[in-house]
Amino acid sequence: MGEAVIQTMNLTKVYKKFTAVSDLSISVNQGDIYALVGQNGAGKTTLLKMICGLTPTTSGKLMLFGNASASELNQARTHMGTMIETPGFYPYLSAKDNLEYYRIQRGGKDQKAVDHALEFVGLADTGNKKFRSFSLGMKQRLGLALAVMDHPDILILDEPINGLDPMGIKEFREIILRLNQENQTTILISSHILGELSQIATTYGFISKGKLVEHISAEDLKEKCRNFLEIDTDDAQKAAQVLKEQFSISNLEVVDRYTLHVGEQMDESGQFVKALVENGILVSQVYRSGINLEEYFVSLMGGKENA
Amino acid sequence: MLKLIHADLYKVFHRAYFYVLSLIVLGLSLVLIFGLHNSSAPFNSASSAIQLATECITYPILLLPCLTDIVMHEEYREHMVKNTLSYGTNRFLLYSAKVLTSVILGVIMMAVALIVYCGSASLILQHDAKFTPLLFREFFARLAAACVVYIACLAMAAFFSTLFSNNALWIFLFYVAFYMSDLLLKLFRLSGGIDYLLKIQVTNIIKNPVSQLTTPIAISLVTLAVFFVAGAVLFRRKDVC
Repeated sequence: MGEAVIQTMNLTKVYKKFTAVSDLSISVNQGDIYALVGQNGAGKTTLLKMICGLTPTTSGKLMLFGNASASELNQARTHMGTMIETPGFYPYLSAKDNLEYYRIQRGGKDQKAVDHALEFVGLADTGNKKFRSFSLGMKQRLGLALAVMDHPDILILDEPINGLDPMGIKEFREIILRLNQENQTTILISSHILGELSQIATTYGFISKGKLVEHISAEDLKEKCRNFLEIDTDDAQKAAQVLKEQFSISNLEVVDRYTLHVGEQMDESGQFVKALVENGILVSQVYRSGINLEEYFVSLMGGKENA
Repeated sequence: MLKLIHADLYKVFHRAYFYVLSLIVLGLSLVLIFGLHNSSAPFNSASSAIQLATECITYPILLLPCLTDIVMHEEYREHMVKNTLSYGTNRFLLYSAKVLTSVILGVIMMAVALIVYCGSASLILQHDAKFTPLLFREFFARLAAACVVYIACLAMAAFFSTLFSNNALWIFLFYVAFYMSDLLLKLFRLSGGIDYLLKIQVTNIIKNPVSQLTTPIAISLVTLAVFFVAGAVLFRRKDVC
């Protein structure tokens, strides 16, 4: 685990009477793919905008690469690539001209940086096609091309796969993983498409109503979302003893007086029932259970709100 | 800041809009000259063309919001400012660069129009006794003073453009602020402030003797400073997306 490249300490953003982000503290380490997960209106975009300097903070502290002053933050942002909400470009310019505009603006000396960026995202063949004629997927790719053009150390992506088709999502995912694995680029990505995030994220930050609800590594989350056998008996404690002695099961949890969760040898459920019955334990039902990422998210958010 | 200006000029010169605008200005210049050419004496003389140009000093202000739109407001409209600011660009520098770029484009357009207008006047119209270097000196002195008003107007346009995201609204307010402020001040019984309006400075530049151009220039500079600072402060606090 590398050192923290993005740190927020009690970051707060208040719009008149509405608190969009409240005392939010996160830490993104170098090399992480940090997934920011939350419902619509949870505060994900507001947080990212504060990190990118697009909206002033109300209170709290932001540090990038360990720097906190305004001028240091601006300097640090030159090592960041960002894609916040819908990509914005000049509709009457081609992909190449749009990127060239930013290359000149940023003082990029490598004349081929634009071509490399377009090639990287698969837009090298667009020629003189104007941005206004691009499909949504192409626009998203151009946004990503701009973000990666200067080989940033940090990539900040706000809902980058919204509106993409499955093929586009797959390609986007592969690009992100390649950047992280080949260039050790740290990635902070927000989305509510949980299935996609689960394939790439190394760390998760769950946000609800402007507050950080949970910060968890991918390994720990996988552990929490594991499958298990739920065995309903008349004496869960005795049942647990029997299973431990006869099957050497260690991954076992007595949930309550009647319920047992077994996290290993789940294919032996028939043997379990036989052993329990032989030991005088009544078994009312046995079934596979578990929660996926979406269910975990919903349980964190406290109900059946939309993801 | 030079990189920001360079990038904006790259963008402007890679679209037809600015060229079309310049062609329109060119066309209007030629229409005026040919109009004078086809009229009777003394209006068909080169000196009349210069005097007409002096009278028309106020009209370029009509085009200034177009320059602010293509340099600055378009970026708000297309949600592009975030691309620049998220790279760490200083907001004050960015705002200043935008205003300067619109000034540069105005200078280019004016130079082209002047070359065509004065050149065609000199070639096509009759040279009379009044067509002297003194006439040119006076005209260019008034035009130079008017340039300060134009730049103040660009600062005003930049301010309104930053204040209001709606295109029609900020342009409308710009024209109201320039052309109707005197009526509004009279309405609110603040007639004492009328003498400090940009519209009045332009009128004074056209009508007053050349020796009395210092006051309109000074008032325009103050107006420029006020709107520029106000716009920069507004932009610094603007929530961008």
